[in-house]
Amino acid sequence: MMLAMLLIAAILVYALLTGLSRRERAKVGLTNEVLEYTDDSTEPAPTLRSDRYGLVGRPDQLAHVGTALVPVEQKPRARRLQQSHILQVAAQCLLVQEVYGVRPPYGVVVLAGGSRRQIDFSPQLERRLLDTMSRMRAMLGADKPPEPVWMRDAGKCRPCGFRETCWGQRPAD
Amino acid sequence: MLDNGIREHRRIATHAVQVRALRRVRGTVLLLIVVLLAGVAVQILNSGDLLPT
Repeated sequence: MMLAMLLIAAILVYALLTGLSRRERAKVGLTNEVLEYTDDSTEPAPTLRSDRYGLVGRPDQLAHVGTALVPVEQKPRARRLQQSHILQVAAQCLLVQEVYGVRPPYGVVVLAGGSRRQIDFSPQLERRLLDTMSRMRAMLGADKPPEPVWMRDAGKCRPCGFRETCWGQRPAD
Repeated sequence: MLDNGIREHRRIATHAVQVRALRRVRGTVLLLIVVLLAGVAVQILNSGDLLPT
């Protein structure tokens, strides 16, 4: 009788912990992943390095999905997904693949309010990342700075205080 | 602006640490449940309620 009561109490505690865990996981942006590392001051996530690609990075969290590790990047102030977020997570996926030898099926970006975006680490995205990296290196190695690019879609150039510096007296539209 | 970002990241890191701690505690409680289930099963078997007489 005593054992049965203890068993019932243990099941109730387990149910309570499951509810708490689900709530905490939602705040981090996890669904079915098992958290492996988190980048906090007491227990930092490992810094991932690849000499082959000349990349260094440290995801905010690393989570297990089956045998693969998935990088999780927190962007708590971003309301929407930006191309830079996608490429950052792609770079982290490439680093995870290089360091752990298993290709992550996807990476995760968690936006403001815990809104989760899953980024498939497809061969196309990997090619785009490598292409962007080689263009960045070409820019950094060039003698003169690159020409300005009008950021119409992101709405960045129109309100920018340096608009005339980039575009002259009659700014582009 | 930067401070807010750091604070937000720390807040999320705290939740992440709690996720890991809760996982460990849940694992322990699950183990306890298995042990208690086994104990209850042994008690039932010993009482002879399930055994044919």
